[in-house]
Amino acid sequence: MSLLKKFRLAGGLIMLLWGVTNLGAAVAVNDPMPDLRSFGLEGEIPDLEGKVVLIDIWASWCAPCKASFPAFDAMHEAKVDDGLVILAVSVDRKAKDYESFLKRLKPKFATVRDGNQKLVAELNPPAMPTSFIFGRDGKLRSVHRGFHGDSTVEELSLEIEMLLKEDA
Amino acid sequence: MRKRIVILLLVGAGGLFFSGCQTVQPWERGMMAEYSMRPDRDSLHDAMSEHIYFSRESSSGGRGVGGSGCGCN
Repeated sequence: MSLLKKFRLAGGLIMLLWGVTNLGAAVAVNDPMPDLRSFGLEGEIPDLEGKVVLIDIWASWCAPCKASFPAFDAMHEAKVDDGLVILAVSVDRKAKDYESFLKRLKPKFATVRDGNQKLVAELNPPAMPTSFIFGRDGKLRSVHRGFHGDSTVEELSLEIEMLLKEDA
Repeated sequence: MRKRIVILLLVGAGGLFFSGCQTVQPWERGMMAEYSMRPDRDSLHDAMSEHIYFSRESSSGGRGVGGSGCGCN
């Protein structure tokens, strides 16, 4: 093997190794929902068995997250009896920030805090906020990046409506 | 020659593995959204900068970038 070939091979191996070590763990569509109780979340996790679950990743410092809360409140009130569970997961490091945000907005849906950011690292959201929608079978159906007002609400509502009609 | 290649490869690998570059994930950007990160946090400083800019350039404005940088949405 010529010297140049050896050099190229070694370079390629280094790049491959670097790529492998930088791969992020992300939950993909059709993957089952991670076991939420294994992440040390602060707060009560509601019963999710056989429900359509919207996991919303948010933070107190994120302005679009704040804008999304009234919309999720309305969605929760309209569809909770049909089997929708909205679980808002805060990634706030400080409990004080999380609590004061909830005190101001008083959401009607369930909220928990992922203070050590283990669940969020597993879900790997592409932006803040991000909504992960799981069907009644517990599998991830879609990921909605960001919150863009009425257009996001419309998209989420349509999808949730369809998923609620499915059997567990 | 071989020694030189080995050194080059080691330096290249070191550059990749021990570099200070790190992707800040979307959920780790809370600090960037703090008030102290806002470009318009000090109104007196802003007024002075605007005055200096106007004196030098005979123009003003173009400073309307608001908010801080959590890069949300």
